[in-house]
Amino acid sequence: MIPGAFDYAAPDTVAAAILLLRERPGEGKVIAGGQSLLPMMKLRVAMPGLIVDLRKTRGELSHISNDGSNLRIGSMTSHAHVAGSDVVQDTLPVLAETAAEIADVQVRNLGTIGGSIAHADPVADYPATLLALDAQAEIAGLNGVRVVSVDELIMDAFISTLAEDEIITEIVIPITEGRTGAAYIKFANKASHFAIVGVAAHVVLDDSGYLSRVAVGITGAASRAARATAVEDTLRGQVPTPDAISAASALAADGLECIADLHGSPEYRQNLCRVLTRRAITRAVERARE
Amino acid sequence: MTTTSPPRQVGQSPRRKEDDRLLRGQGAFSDDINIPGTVWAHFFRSPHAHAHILNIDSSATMAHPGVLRVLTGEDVHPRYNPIPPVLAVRDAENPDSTAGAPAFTLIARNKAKYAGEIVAIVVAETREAARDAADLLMVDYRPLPVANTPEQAMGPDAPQVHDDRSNEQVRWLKSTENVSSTFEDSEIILRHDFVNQRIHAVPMEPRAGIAHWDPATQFLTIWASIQGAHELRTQMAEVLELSPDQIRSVAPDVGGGFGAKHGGEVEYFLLAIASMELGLPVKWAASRTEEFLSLSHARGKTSQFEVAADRDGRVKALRLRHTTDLGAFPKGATPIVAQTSAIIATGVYGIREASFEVHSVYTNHTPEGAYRGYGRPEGIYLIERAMDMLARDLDIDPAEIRRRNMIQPEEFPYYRTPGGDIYDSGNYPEALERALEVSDYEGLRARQREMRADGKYLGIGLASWVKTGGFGPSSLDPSSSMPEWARVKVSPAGMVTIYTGSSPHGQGNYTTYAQVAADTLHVPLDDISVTHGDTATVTYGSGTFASRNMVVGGTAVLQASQKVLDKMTQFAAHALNADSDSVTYTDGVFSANGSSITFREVAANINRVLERPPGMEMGLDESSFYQPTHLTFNYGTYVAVVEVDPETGDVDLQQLYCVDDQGVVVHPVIVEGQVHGGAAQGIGQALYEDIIYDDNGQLLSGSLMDYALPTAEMMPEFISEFIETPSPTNPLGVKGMGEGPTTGAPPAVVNAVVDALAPFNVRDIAMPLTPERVWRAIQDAQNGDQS
Repeated sequence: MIPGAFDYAAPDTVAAAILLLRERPGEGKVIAGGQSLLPMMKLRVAMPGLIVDLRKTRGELSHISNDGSNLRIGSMTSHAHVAGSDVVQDTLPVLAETAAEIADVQVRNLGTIGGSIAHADPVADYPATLLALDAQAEIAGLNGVRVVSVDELIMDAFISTLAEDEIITEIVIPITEGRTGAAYIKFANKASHFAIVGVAAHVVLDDSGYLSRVAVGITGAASRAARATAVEDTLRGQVPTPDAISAASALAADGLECIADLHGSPEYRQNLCRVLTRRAITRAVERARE
Repeated sequence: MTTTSPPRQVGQSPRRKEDDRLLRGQGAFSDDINIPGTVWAHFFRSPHAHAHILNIDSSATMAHPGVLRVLTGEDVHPRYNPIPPVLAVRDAENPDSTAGAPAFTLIARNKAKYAGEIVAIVVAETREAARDAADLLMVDYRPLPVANTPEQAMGPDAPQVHDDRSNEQVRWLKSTENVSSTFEDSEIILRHDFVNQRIHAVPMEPRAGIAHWDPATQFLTIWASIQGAHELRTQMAEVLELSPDQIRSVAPDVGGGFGAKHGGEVEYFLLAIASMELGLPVKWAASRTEEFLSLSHARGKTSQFEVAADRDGRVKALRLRHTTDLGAFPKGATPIVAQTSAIIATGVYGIREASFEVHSVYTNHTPEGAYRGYGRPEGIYLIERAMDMLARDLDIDPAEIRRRNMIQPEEFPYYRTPGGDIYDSGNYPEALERALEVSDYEGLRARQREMRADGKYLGIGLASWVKTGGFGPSSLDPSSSMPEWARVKVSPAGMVTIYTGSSPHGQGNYTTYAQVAADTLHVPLDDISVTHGDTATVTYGSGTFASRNMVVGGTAVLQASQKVLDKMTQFAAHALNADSDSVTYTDGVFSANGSSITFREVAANINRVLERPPGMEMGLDESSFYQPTHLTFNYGTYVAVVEVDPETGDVDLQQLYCVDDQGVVVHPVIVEGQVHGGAAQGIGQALYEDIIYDDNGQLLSGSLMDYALPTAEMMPEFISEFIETPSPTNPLGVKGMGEGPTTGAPPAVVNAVVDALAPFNVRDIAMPLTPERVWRAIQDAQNGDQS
């Protein structure tokens, strides 16, 4: 497993990285941990002419902070860092729960949140949770910084709306106050440990016990992670009884074009969407009530 | 002479002598061998399962910097021989003739027969250059229709894999006299089709090798990740038309073989050819993807199985039509594996009437080869699944139906099965009862009832199994007896070196052979070392396979140790002025007539001419062959406990209780480790692993991202117990055991899952029991589709 020949650069700053990418249009590829890119290069599925390694930008891009209303995670923050962060645990523990589900220890030590999103793997874990939490991404380019929702950033399988000379710098996730709970439940492919289906649910209960917010993100099922809007619309404003959750979860696969691969047919993925959505919402509601 | 032993080493579990350096990363595997001036080979493989090769243009490859040579079938075929098949294959229609299998072609010429078959070898100064240059090779193919399943390949108008013969290599029939009449007279007949899916052994170390032809001395040295250095040398001599005396073959540290590394692989011969062509050392190390494409697969069999029984569940007869997918070429004895697989289908039961119909068929798939169990797991799977089906149909407990059918202890030794196997010894009911006791079977059943009331699905699965070991003579081919050789040498300083032809690659024989010698020679384990895996230092070796090391190799060590002791005793008698018969040997001291001499003194003094008795040669260096006359048959009963999530189909394998009888246990911790490792591989087959081809013969599950090799977190709690019925076949009383757990685990686990889903009326699920298959089985059963 030997990759094709490539040039390599490890600039010290994001700005320098952007310039390097600008100089070699159509050739450059950012490496932000390399846990997906390197295997693809070894299989020669990816053969970039230039690798721009962000490892020296960790000072700039690896951090976790709470700005009062948002959790801000630098794009070069490792999954292990997110999984073990007290700040995350205090604000949005579901994000730590999600990060801890990613692959194995070695991958979590090197893989990064920005790299994961930019890669837009349809079976990655983070997108389910970030969609359910209405996360946004800050993106640096030659003309400054733009902010888009993660939902808009991910287009389709392995395709994002990032320009080839743009780099994700930060993930910004709103912190919800009040009686709130969230959960991520993954049903893993036994070989790769990627999600066959993974479901994240985020709920807010009002003072009377009604759901003022319910958000469900599903990964693995289709060619990109998506929100289960039919489930959300049915449950919003309801008291989350087991029957109500079950009835709404039955709609979890509505509108999804479920994919087929060795590990699950579309019908099986639809079933997992329904079962895992019910379980994730149920767990999120239990946590909101605690 | 009489001897009194110090505390026996056999039966103890001393720390493994081999582990320290391996755990520190100080092993020397084939890829670690470096010779100055070595160049690298890359094997260019066919992307098509079946295609004519019209043209190969290597000009761009040759122009790539660092490239030294491109070799194709046109270069190799005229000058070197293919690998001859190791066993003649019988044809039932002409039982006296030997319809030989085709030779294993080293490299495709004119036609590629499976996706992954080698089409060209690119040799370059570096590994990277060879790999990059291979991308520049231009090959024109004309794809051909694909023989993609044995059933299709046997049918009319099937694409022919080999132009000069039909796809069906073996059609073999064997039957006792009264099978038909027994079926006609039986009240209960069970019929079911089963699949043992194709799987891949996945040794942790991918293959690697380095070949060094020295033109000056006309001598070839090859280091390779193989299970037997001598077998490779023999084959190498035939392929290269060299004398075996011109070849040194070395199996250095080998990171697991499991049968897949048994026998020469085409890559090693091609490395030797490249080295001879270039006069340089040539090296290759496989990638994991390359291993999935080209290191042999195993197990792929479909079976139509019928059982005739009475209403009490006593099985009277069975009929089996057993079809195996050989892939494109016969590797080793694979054409007859399906026969040994079929005949063990009577299992541990006293079934008297049986008929077997076996078809071994070529397809455009990666060749099958050996894998831990060598056909026996597939046969046992059939009877153990059928026993559970019969039990459910007749409303008999699965333990009770096994109890009613088992061969009884008084029918040993040497129970002859309808298929011709001769089981050496055992107490099958004892293993069953012990397994029921250890697992608290009644308690498990009670817990299952309680959990079902709560909507939870616990399943309990039994498998009582038997497995060959100690190869050895085969009932199918007594002439194939394979002896083993050992040499035991004692240095003047009293240090003992054992040389063995059955080289370990994980089995622990550095330690266990030393234990055997220590019990004879009364020396500490630290004073004993084991040398193996090199034709330059080891005179003879049949190799390591078929659960034979301790039975055959261990007995040879015992015999050679005994010869050394006999000579030392004669020397001691002379030194002590006594008859040999009056010398006693206790704790390393020879005594007679009130005086004594130690082991170390004998070892030193036997080299002094004036001290030796007349006629005795100096030195302590004895060797011995052991030729077994029977196979051994280890057996056991396993109990698997699972909980199934019916909404997702996920199986949680919680416990596997293993009761094994492998005869005398030399090293209990190593043997328990073999139980865990073998069971892990059996669990892999039951729940996870699957070699999947698409309609064009393309391998879909060709990486560890898609081929689910179980990891530690997917393992159950193992509870392992031994019972010990010494084998009468050998002086150590041992039975082969490494392949038993791969035989017992699959039916135990599948029986447990199907048992868990009894409330849904699920009757069978085909392996591997993936979550989707389990979920579908529940859906289908609830929709009334009985599988």
